[in-house]
Parts: sequence; structure tokens; C-alpha cells
Amino acid sequence: MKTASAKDLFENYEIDIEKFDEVYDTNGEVRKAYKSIHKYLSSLDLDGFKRYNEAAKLSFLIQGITFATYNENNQGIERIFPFDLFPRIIPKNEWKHIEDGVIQRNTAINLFLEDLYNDKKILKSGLIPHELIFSSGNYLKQMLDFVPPGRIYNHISGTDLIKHKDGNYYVLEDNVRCPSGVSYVLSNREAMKKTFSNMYKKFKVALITDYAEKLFECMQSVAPEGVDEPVCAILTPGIFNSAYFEHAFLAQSMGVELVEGRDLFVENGFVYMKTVYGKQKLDVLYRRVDDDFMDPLVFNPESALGVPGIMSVYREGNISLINAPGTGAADDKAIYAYVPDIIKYYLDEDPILSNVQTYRCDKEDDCKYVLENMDQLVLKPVDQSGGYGIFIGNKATKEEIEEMKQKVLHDKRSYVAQPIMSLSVHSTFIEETNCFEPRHIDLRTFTLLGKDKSFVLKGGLSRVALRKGNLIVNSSQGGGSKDTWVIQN
Amino acid sequence: MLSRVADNLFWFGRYIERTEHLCRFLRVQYFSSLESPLEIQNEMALHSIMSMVGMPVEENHLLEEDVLLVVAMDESNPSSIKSTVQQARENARGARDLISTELFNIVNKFYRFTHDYPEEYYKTRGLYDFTQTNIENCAIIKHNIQNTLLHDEIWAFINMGLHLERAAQICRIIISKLENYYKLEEMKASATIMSYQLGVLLRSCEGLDMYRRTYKTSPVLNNTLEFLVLNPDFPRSILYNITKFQEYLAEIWPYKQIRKNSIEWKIGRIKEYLTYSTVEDFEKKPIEFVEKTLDYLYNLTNMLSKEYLSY
Repeated sequence: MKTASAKDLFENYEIDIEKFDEVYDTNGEVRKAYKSIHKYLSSLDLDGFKRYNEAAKLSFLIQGITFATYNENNQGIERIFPFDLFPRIIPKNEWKHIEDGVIQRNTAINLFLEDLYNDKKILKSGLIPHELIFSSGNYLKQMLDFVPPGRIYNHISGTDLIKHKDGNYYVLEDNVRCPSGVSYVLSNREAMKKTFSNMYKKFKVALITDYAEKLFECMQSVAPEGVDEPVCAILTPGIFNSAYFEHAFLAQSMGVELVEGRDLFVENGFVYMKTVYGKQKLDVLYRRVDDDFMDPLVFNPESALGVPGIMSVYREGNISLINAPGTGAADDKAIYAYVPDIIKYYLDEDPILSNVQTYRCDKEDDCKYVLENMDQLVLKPVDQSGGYGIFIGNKATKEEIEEMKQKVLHDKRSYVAQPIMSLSVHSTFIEETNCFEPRHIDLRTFTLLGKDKSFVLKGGLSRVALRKGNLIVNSSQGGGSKDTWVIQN
Repeated sequence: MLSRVADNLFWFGRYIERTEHLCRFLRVQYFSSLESPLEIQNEMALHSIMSMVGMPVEENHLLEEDVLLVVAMDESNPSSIKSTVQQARENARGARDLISTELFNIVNKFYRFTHDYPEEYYKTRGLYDFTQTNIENCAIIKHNIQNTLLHDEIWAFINMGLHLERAAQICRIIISKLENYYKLEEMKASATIMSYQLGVLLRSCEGLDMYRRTYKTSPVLNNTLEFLVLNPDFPRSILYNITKFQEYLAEIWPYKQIRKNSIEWKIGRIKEYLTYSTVEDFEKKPIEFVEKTLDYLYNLTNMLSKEYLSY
């Protein structure tokens, strides 16, 4: 507990009324949902809080929830993903809106993918230009005229949301290839429970422990036809992959094998695992290897991570792949602008979650606007993820703006632009200053679609940009994360 | 179970056991050399430490600090203690979806301990602390292997690695220390020194106390050999570990038809051979006998790889 002379951890907290602060309202009052947790954290002195902070860090280190960076001597230095002990709280009614919204959005994306690779009705209707699809490197001809088991393409979707200063949630991007991060949601929760058990039990936080069970049910539901008890596995690139912890964690949580490409082979139209007892047939494969590396016979011939011949087995219906290859055609940032129309087209519903206004540089009017207003826009390459290649207009120098203009003019299809959205901020402990400061956050939600079933993990991953003023929250760009609590109102 | 993962589990077991033996050997040799009356005993201790990590050296005057560092701390030396712990951890990572969280976490914690151990502290005061904490960590890991895993083939592969490695390490310790023993014999060292050398050998295998209970005398050569090679009840004898290896192998495929020259057949042969051997059969040339046994064990590893672990 805090001594009388101890420094208040929130002493220097500055509230910026231009931004939506999740913890404080514009009058500087702590919001209702945060009152008791704020009181608890305020009661701690710096040393006490730091002890908790170190204990949480150590717990991540011991569990091996780390990623390695390599220096010149090729000696791996292991780091933990920074974790902040002040949880993000989402009241239940707010969460219901998010949950309904991401299910609607990902259901529509699934129907869109089936249509794109089969009847192409949406293209014929003229709603989406042909060239937008056919110019995308993520549209795979190997998926044409084929419907996966259970009619599901995006079994696992990571939808990134932000809360704008108007207090509303907006979808920032869709990730329907191999979205990662769910293991951090579950590990963050464990760390929070251990560190702040007294406080945690006072809240009725929605459970997230059922994720693995739901994922397993989802995998089983899309097994190849005629297979009653499917053998399931997760395909990992191997122990040196930065997400290996997640792959092993999920395999362990579901009790399925964690395989590498070299553990699998194709024989007579089926995929087999090499086991100590000989070969064993595999039915459902949750692959955490990108499309391009899945099958050297049809994609990148240099790939040693995939399984030669697996695509032909897939098309014969003898193995299910999760997610389906070619889903990248739908999470391209140029497609993003059309998702509200896609929802309307397939579901005849208005979108529950709004999009951020998006300008497509391949449209003449949009491009003109973008070139004239670059200092007020965020420009994103359409086919990159992980926060790479993002240009933030109000942070750029004149030279950088000019350079970006040339890039856009040179390759219009490759860029979209959005207004600089004001991501909400959240109180976050900053080690350099030893106190809480506001930092920008977003929210990655995880949606599962199986045959006739859907599920959204209650909470998701709140990512936080630890550098002051930074809007990019990705871990590859120095971001951290927070536990996210969905609670009763 | 995947062959690749079985390979990870087998080598995880081997590296844990190897680490434990390296630590004990280093500790026992170093501290016993402190009270050795002959200067050459000191040299011998350093040479035998180098030979245990597979780095035998020709020159006579080894620098103690160099030896102690290269064996324990040198991450560029694949046989150092830091490296074997890292290998154990990497193999556990390769199978972390199959082993318990408790087991993985303690392996990882162990890795962090050795990896972060300050070299300066080790050089000046930390040798006992470093080796002893490592030995204790190995014990906790083995406790978790026995008590947090299903006793199925995953568990069996780890145990096969543990026992095969232990048998091999005991062979190497015997060879190394007997070479010293015979050198001292040539130099006509006193009976006390000779017995002390055998005591060091037994302590290197954590067997001096149980030896005394069995024979109720100070160590003598015949009894020491009998105890470390043929005792069926001492968990660090060669026979005991070969018997265990055979039992765990049978867990993998209980009803397998045993073919001539298969690994099951070979392991059965050596087990029966040792069971019905007496120390008199090899007391004249014990080093040769143990070297042959070690070769046989290496051959068993190759056969296991070929039949179960290749992928």
C-alpha cells in the first residue's frame, strides 16, 4: 500500500480532450467501469507496482512467451512482448455490438470468397470492379471452381477495431489469412489473474478459456466428407518462427499434433503424418504457413515449409485446410473499402460496425483528393500487414510527402488512404517515467466460423503503442498489449 | 506420435541427463583435486574434465580457469553445460505441445538460470552453486517427467534418452577415471591415494554411499567395477540402465514381433550378457570391456534412430 510520501502513479497523467480516453472522461473524472480498478492501482506505490510488473514479466519469460532478435553474432536475445498491467475494460452492452458486428462482417466475407472463386456474381453485378480482384496477388487461381468442406473459407478471422474520439468503434482492417495473437490474450489473462488476484475476483470478467475447445469444434465441423473422427493437426514453420509459442500453445490446448512440413507427405490422394508407428492419415490441418509456402508444386517452388502435393489432395476433398488458401483476396486493404457493400449484397443488412472512410488511389477522384491532402491522411500499402509501409501524413516531412506522392503515382493500385483516425488512449505504465501515461490502443477480435457455428472470443487483444504519440500498435513495431475484460454493466 | 517429435523427446532426455553428469563430474573432480596430495592428480582432474566433454587435450599444463570456463560457460562449445541445457530446452520446445506446462516451464526456467549465470561470479565463487543448482534442476525436471506426464510413449522416449545417456556417461566416467587409476598405479602411489581415486570415481556417479552400504569397505577396484557395471539395483550402474532402456522400449510397441538383429533383439542380448557376467570376466582389461560396451550403446542409438526416429 502507498505511503503518505509516495509518488502517485497517475500524478502526471495528462488528459487530451481531442482524444477518447478509455479511463477518464473529458472532465478528468474516472469512468464508471474503471472506478474500482483505478482506485486499486492508485493505492499502490511505485515500488509495489514495480514488483507486480517484474513478477508478470518473469512469468512470461519462464513460460517462454518470447520472441528472439538476432544480433551480429547470431546469438538470439529473447524478449517478451511488453504487457501492461492496467486492463482494458469493455462493458457487456458495448461488447454485444462488437460481437454482432464482427460475426456479420466475417460471415459476409466468407460468402464473398465463395462467390469470388465460383459464380462471381458480385463482379458480374458491377459492384466490385473485376480488375480489383484479378490484379490482387492474393487471388489464387488454384481455388477456382472449388468449395471447401462446410463452405467455410475464413474459419479464423482477426478483425482490428479502433475507438474513435466520437466514442464509436470502427473497423480498421480485416485479417483472414493467418491472424495471430490469440495466445497472448490467454496468456495475458493468466498473468493478470496471478498478479492481481484480489482485484480480479471482484469483477465478473467473461471467461476466455473456451477458445481452444471452440477452435477444435470448428476444425472438426469442417472435416472432409465421410470422416467421423477427424485427425487434426497444426502446421508450424518450426521453432524459429516468431509465433511458435502460439502454435505450440494451441496444439497443446486442443491436444492435437503440432506438425512441420517435413512431418507430412502425400500418397495416393491423402496426406499422412510420419509417426513412430508408420504413417497416419491427417484430415484437418490448421496451417500457420502462408499460402505461398503451402505447396511447392503449385506455389513457391523453393518452399521447404509446406507439403508437396497437398493442394491436389485439398481439391479432391481429402483434407481440410484452415484457413482456406486464397482468403487474402478478401482482406486486401483495397477490398476493405467495399466490405460495407459486401455485407449489404450478401446479407441484405446494414453493417453493424462502420468502416473508416477509405480513399482508393486507383480511383481518379480519390487519388486526386489523396495527392492534395497527404498531410492529413494515413496511406497504407494494400498488400502488407504488420504495420509495415504505413505513411502517416502529419508526421512526415515535405520530402517524405513528395517521395510518397511519387510512389502513389507510380503504382496507384497498391495504396489506399484514410483520414488520420484518432485511436482511443488508455492509461499505460511507462517504465521510462515510472508513471501511467495515455497511450493509443486498438482491439483485435478473434472470430471462428465452422459449419453452422460461429464464435467470438470475449475480449480479444488490446494492443498498445508504447511510444508516445505513436499510432502503430503492432508488436513488430514496438507495441505491447493489455488484458481485455468484458464485464457486466 | 511424430517421429521428429519422438527424436526431440529422446534427445531432451539425453541432454538433461548429460547436463547432470557433466555438472556432477565437474564438481567432484574440481573439489576432490583441491585436496589431492600429488600435483599430478590435479592435472589428471583437469584432463579428465576435458575428456568428459569430448575435448581431450595433449598438452600437460592446462590452465584451470580455461578448463572450468570452456566446460561450463562457453556457448560456442557445443559440449559445454550451457550448450547442453540449451539443447535440452530446444528439444523440449520442439515437443512443447505434448509435454506438460509444468515440465516445459521448469525446463525453460532452468535454461534462463544457466543462460544468465554471470561468468565472473562463476570464475571466482560460483562453481559449486552453478553445478549444484543445475543438478537440482535436473532432479526437478525428472520429477516432472515422472509425475506430470502420461506414462505413455512420450514419457517412454524421454526415459529411453535418460537411461541410454546415463549408461553412456557412466561408461565414459569409468574409462576416464580408470586411466588415472592405472597411471597412479604405475607411479606406485599409496593404497590410500588409490582408494581415494576410486572414491572419486564412485562419487562422480553418485555411488559412494551406496557402495559402502553394499560392501562395507573402502573402495577397491574389483568391487567398484562390479558395483558400477553389474549391480542390478543401483540406478547408476550400466546394467540397471540397460534394463530400464529395454523396459521403456517395450512400452513403445509392446506386442512387436522381435526380429533377429533388430534393436529389441540387440538390447535383449546385451542385457542378458551383462546379467550373467561376473567381474572376473573383465577385471583384467576393464577399460577395454567398458569401451566395447560404450560402442554397443552408440550402435543402439543408431538403430533406434533408424527404426523409430527417422523422418
